[in-house]
Amino acid sequence: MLEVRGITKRFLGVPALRDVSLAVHPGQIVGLIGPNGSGKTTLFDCVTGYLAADGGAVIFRGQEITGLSPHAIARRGLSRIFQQARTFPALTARENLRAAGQQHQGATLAAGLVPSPRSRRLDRALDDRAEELLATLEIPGVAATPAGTLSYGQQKLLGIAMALMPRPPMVLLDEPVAGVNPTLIESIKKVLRALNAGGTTFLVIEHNLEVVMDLCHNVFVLDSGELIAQGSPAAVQADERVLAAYFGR
Amino acid sequence: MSAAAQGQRAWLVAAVVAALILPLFVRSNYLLHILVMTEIYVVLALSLNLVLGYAGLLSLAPPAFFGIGAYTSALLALRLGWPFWAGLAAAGGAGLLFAAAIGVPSLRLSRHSFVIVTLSFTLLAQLAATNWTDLTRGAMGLPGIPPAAIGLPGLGRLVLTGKTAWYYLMLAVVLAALGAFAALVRSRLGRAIVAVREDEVLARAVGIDAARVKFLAFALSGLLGGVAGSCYAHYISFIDPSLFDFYYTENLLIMVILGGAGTVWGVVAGAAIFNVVPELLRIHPELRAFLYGIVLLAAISAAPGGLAGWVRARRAARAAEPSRA
Repeated sequence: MLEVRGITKRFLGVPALRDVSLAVHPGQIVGLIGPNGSGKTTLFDCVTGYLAADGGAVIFRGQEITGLSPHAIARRGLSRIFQQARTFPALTARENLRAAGQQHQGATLAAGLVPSPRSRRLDRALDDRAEELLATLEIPGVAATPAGTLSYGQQKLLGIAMALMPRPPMVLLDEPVAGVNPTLIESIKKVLRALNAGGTTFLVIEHNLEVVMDLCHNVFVLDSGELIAQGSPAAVQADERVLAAYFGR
Repeated sequence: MSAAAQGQRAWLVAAVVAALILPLFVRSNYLLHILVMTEIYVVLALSLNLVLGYAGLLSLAPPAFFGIGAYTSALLALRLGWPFWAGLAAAGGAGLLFAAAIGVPSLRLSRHSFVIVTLSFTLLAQLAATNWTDLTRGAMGLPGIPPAAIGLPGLGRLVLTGKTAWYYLMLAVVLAALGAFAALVRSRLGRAIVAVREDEVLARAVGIDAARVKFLAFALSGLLGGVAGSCYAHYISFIDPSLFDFYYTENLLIMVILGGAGTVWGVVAGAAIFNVVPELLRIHPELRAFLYGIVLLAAISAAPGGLAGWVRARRAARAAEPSRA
């Protein structure tokens, strides 16, 4: 599904990622862990086109996406959820979801300028999908509320719903449960598992190791921009280099 | 149709009817002139509203597109004898082209640098209008721009000279501009423009081509500015390089920000209030610029959402208030 080949990234000469390679297979939930500053989010930025890597390649569903811009990568079906709960604050939840889904319908921006049966049909499809997702994420009733006035947890869920609007084959999640209460953690886990059972592939950055152990089929560990371990959650947890990276040598 | 949408439609119909019958009650030519100027300003304010209110980009270039539209239309009419409608279309096209040309490089810059580039462009346009004397006659300006004339099949040509005729012509232009604007901001493109304003990083992550969306918003603002400029040139019949003065930029900012950037009716109200009130109070233009600065500062502190934002907040507060039986 996703293959990262030898990605290298330097900031002002300081290496942030050194020759990182990893593969995520269809249907997997893969974890990406490592201490703060180890390069996890930088790797996401390189994969999704927000940063240009200094070397290496990214292959998504058999096609090279290295160097494409973020919107082009998103339209190919690689969704991304950010670390902070990001929404369009002044827009209602429904408008947020419409905005998140509209570029994936294969219609140009100009298509809706003149109201037509087609544009109405496209908008109705967006609204149906939005209602469905709000119900799945258990935040029905917020559709007409401005996103900026929702609670942090609700905004986090809305962000997840936005990434899921186009039914993407793969989603990158950057700390989906950070700053979220334990009840909500359980419901986010439940949603991710259900989507995964439906065929969606995930790559997850997460500091909450319990969640990682619980959800992930496979885990990669970054330390100082280098991949230091990979394997099943249990194997990685017992790895000496991983323990050294987290707790010092 | 929901009750809110029905209420909105009723207000809209009432406003259009009021605008249609207004000249029956206004006898003075001077007041009619102010109304026509208000109509022209509404179109220009929409131009700034699109970039500032919807795309969240502070552009100081709308007066430049206004001036470019005015000069384009005036020169085509004076030198080549083009009719009003053709000049109007050409002026819109010129505004669009110039906006596109400076939009490509300037929108790549940071939002702050973008402000400076748009301001510089307005100043450059004024320099060109002042010094390219072969074309523009420089500071002497272009007098004698013919008024608009409408060809009526079988009835000959109707030349618009009276203020009332201009009022209705501009009303048609304003309604067309407002209709197009409302359709635009409700469309997919409008939604994308607002999404980019709200969070550009997130907008790109959901597949919105942010650079292109900003470019389109800016280019369309150039079109609206050019159209307004053409109407102005044919109405006033004389233009000179003072069209590009910063005074107009300040006027426009006041109308859009105090009316409520990012709303349609708020900006229309802003254009109306800030054309009519200063004229009625007969404030000296230089004192006016000074007072506007103070009003703008005070209003931004007290009501950052402008008139429309203030009304919306009041409405929300009233809805939240427990009903007292």
